[in-house]
Amino acid sequence: MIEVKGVSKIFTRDGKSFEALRDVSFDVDTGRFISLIGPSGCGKTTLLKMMAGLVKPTEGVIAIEGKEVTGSGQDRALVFQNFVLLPWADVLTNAAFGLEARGVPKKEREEIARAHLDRVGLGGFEKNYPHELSGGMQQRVGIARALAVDPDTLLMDEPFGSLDAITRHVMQHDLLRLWQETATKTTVFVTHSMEEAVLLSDQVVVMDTRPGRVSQVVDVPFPRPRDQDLSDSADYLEFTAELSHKLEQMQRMDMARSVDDRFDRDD
Amino acid sequence: MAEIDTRVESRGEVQTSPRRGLSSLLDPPRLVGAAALIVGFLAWELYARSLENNIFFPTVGSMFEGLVALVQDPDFWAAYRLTLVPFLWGWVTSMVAGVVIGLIAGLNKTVWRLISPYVSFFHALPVSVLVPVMVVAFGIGLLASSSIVFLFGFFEVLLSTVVGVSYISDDVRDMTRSFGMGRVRAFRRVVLPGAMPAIMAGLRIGTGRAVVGMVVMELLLVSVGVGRLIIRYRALFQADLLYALVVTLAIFGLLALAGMRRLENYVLRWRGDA
Repeated sequence: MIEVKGVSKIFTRDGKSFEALRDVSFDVDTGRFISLIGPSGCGKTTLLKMMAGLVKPTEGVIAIEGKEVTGSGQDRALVFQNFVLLPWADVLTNAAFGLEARGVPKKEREEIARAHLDRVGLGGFEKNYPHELSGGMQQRVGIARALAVDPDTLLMDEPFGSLDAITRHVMQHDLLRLWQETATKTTVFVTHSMEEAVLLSDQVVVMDTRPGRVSQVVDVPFPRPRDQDLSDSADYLEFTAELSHKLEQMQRMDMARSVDDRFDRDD
Repeated sequence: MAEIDTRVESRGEVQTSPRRGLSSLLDPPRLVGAAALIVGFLAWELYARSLENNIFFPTVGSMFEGLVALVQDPDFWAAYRLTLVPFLWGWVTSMVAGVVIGLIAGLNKTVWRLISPYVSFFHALPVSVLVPVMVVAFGIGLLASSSIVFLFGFFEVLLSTVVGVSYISDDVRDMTRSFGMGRVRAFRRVVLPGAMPAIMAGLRIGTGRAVVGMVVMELLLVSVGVGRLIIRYRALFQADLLYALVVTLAIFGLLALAGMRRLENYVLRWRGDA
């Protein structure tokens, strides 16, 4: 279980402080897939980075399986929005990077990495370099790299955010299948897209801005295994439309507030 | 600098890569470059012939004759040998020190803050003005001459390396940290290769600067090498040999840069042809 307890974060830069998160609390049960969604600036990526141990909360605690997160750990793996592959290393070396970080011997880590590349559909591309691959394929390497270390917790930061719509759709369904095959990994998935969040998650944590906070935690009622049939169903479309509408309103409110802020400052 | 570099690149490859054969010599960009050279030589030749006497300004033909004479003169090779000793010392030490100190300063902000005023000072200063200072400090021997070459190359390499290390993105740092890679392994597997494009560019530009430093050293110090020949030919009004000698220096510089370019392409071969 991931426990987020009273987490606040204040960034200070050039003497100005910015409240990224205020008193955020929620739990994620082990083995569940949850999405963090909200307008830009709601602190969802910051929250994810805290779970990864890359950012420290100003106040509050994040604990995973009862242990407070104080730094990065072998139990977690991150997938990045812009893939963050090493351009000078081939696909196999990139996929094996997490294992290399942990000191797994070359032969063993390459064997494991190869197996995971096969799983994400990149068998045969081991010797290619990242710049020779499309964005979707690069992110498959990113996912293989994360899965290769066999993490208990998978943290994904808008992994499909920089892909085109069609690739994105394919990747969502492939991830859905992949995750349901693995099924034991607690996953936290940051996204902008409500369709994506609902399709993939057991639970959607809707966040709001200024300061970043949890607005609503929604359980997704659709049973697994899910597939294309779900994303075509009327129930899904209706459910998603309603939540999307709510999210859109939040975004509009946020814009209105930022306009107010500007006028306040001008006065 | 970029302009000079591209010219050096294409000409350097013509000189050093016969493996590509004749067809690459016939590439349109190379043909244009070759045509420009021929036009330049023609203009030079016509101007030189229009002069009543060309003691001070040789024709292209006599310059090439001078070149042939030079390469057959043991004195010429002896002069280069003498010049290359301080060059090699200064060049190698500046490259090594530049990369090593650059890596340390790139990784450690405190070190960078400590050295950056000196780096800015020396990088902004035309290094030639330090020649008298070097002479006062070290005399006119090997130490002084290699120090001059060193100073020309060092700061370029240092700055490039620091920039290379600091341009490794936050995302890559986060990624490395998130997988819990240790510092030593991360240095070898992430920092060094990440900074390598900038380091190689620094080495190439630094090599060019070191060649300039070599010529400056030859002209401004009491020289026993190429500089001595330059002074002799000037004194004896042997303009053809003087020009030929200048051309050999240019060829030397081009070869050095072409070699560095090849090394760069080899080290960064993961970039492919892109």
